[in-house]
Amino acid sequence: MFRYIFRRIIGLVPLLLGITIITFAVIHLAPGKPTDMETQFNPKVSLEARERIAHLYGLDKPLHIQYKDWMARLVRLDFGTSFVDARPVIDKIKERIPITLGISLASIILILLIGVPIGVSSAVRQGSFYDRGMTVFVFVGFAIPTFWLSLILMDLVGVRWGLLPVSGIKSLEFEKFGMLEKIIDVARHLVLPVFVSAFGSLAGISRYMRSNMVHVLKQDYIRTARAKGLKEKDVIYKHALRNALLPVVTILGLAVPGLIGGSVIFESIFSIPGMGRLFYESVMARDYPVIMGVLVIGAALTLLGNLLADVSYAAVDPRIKLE
Amino acid sequence: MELLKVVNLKKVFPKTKEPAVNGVDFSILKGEVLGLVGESGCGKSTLAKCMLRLINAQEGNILYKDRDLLKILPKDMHRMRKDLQIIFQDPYTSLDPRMRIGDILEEVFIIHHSFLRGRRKVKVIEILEMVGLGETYLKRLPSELSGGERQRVGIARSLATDPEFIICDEPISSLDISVQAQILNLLMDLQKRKNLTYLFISHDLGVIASICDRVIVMQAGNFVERGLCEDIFRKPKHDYTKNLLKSSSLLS
Repeated sequence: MFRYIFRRIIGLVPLLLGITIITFAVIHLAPGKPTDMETQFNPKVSLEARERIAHLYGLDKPLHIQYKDWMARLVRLDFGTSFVDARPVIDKIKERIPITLGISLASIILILLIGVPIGVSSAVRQGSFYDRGMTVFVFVGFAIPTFWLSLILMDLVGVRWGLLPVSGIKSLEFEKFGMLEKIIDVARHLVLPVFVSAFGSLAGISRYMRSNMVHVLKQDYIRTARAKGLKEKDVIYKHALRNALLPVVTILGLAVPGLIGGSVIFESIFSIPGMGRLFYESVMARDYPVIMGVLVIGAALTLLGNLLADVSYAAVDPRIKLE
Repeated sequence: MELLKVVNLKKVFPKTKEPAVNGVDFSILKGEVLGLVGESGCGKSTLAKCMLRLINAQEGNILYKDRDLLKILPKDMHRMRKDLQIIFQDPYTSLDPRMRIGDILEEVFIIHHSFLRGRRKVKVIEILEMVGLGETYLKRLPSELSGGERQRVGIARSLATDPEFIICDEPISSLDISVQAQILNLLMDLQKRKNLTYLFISHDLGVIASICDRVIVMQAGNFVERGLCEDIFRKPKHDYTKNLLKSSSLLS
């Protein structure tokens, strides 16, 4: 097992290298320059000044040299400094990650807690009114655009009923609060964003769970379990569920990159300073070091998530042996 | 002595007009091997599953120990499963792929509160040895076993509740020819040793002829002929039985 994981991680290195080369090229070749903000919009800036700024950022060198310099820093885990505010990229990412990670984890847990039971109960009552009702419910969630639902909820829950705050993650007087009040305040701010992001993803997990469960319930060993004399509850939750949950584990591994990627749409709507917005702002400002930092971390996590999915697959299914 | 009596059992699957089992009556005597023979799709397996309530029949009675299995509460049916067991046709799909052999068997003891925790392991090994396997199989998974070994586990599983009646639903038809005789011998050996009663379902007349006391011939949900094994094979009355015999002698 450990040899397998070690071999896989070694195998990831060239893959990651390839990803960085392609993204580096794409980002740098895209129209617009980081210096545009300071130069393009200011007619007084001379050509000489423009070149001086480009030189300062190292943008006057050929692309492959720029890549080599960037890579040389990256292998020492130095992501460079932002063009926009000269702060280390890693610091900018670090302050954004907990927020996005918190929201993503909360919504994934919510999705599992609601989606898995919906899938299982629908499969057990396959074709019933309940089953069809749930299908409609989860697909409504899937079909409603995030931004629309967010705005409607902000208007209803936040503005008309005044129940929850509608933007940001903390109140203005946050610093004056005690510990418990702080936690409650953040939680109240996160209710809507977490709900919106979970509602849209409910369909995926619950339909997947349902189809796995329907498939497993038809298997001969379920009939065997009944013949053994197991109670129907144990047949479903012990034998069937354990076999049907297996593929869901893979989905979770694949969800790892999304955990820190965040969502540009709802982070913007709810003014949440998370990773999604950091990335969006960096792209707009052509802040190359930050863009590359977010992409490299995202790519590494995607690859690790895949590996995690494979390993956990083997861990939960004794039939699968990793070679 | 009559062990189990089936009265007017009827099963119609939704979306089909013809009943899969069309109001059949028969009884099984204690200690006998009753053969049920017929071509594929004639309703043999459906009948078997209805008898143990693995699927629900629409009409009829299954009388066992003065009670009607089709009418008793789930709680009581749970207890009845201890006495009435089934060996399935396909040993590849009828074992939970994620459970180890030891756990598959031990679960039976846990469900029926058969033995105290400490005794269970010993009893599992005992049962494994009874079907010609041993302690080395405890930690293995169904996928690591051959077809014959799996069917031995299937037999062990059905024996674990210490039943008096076992339905053998084509227990050897999905096995290699070379293994079929071994499993058949094992089944008959166990039947004699434990004085078991079998309902032996097969489409193989040779197998039926060699092991059964009485035989029922089934066609399209109905019983067309029944009687002592020798009578059926020596002087069949119904045309369908004659055809069955003719086609099987053509093969051999």
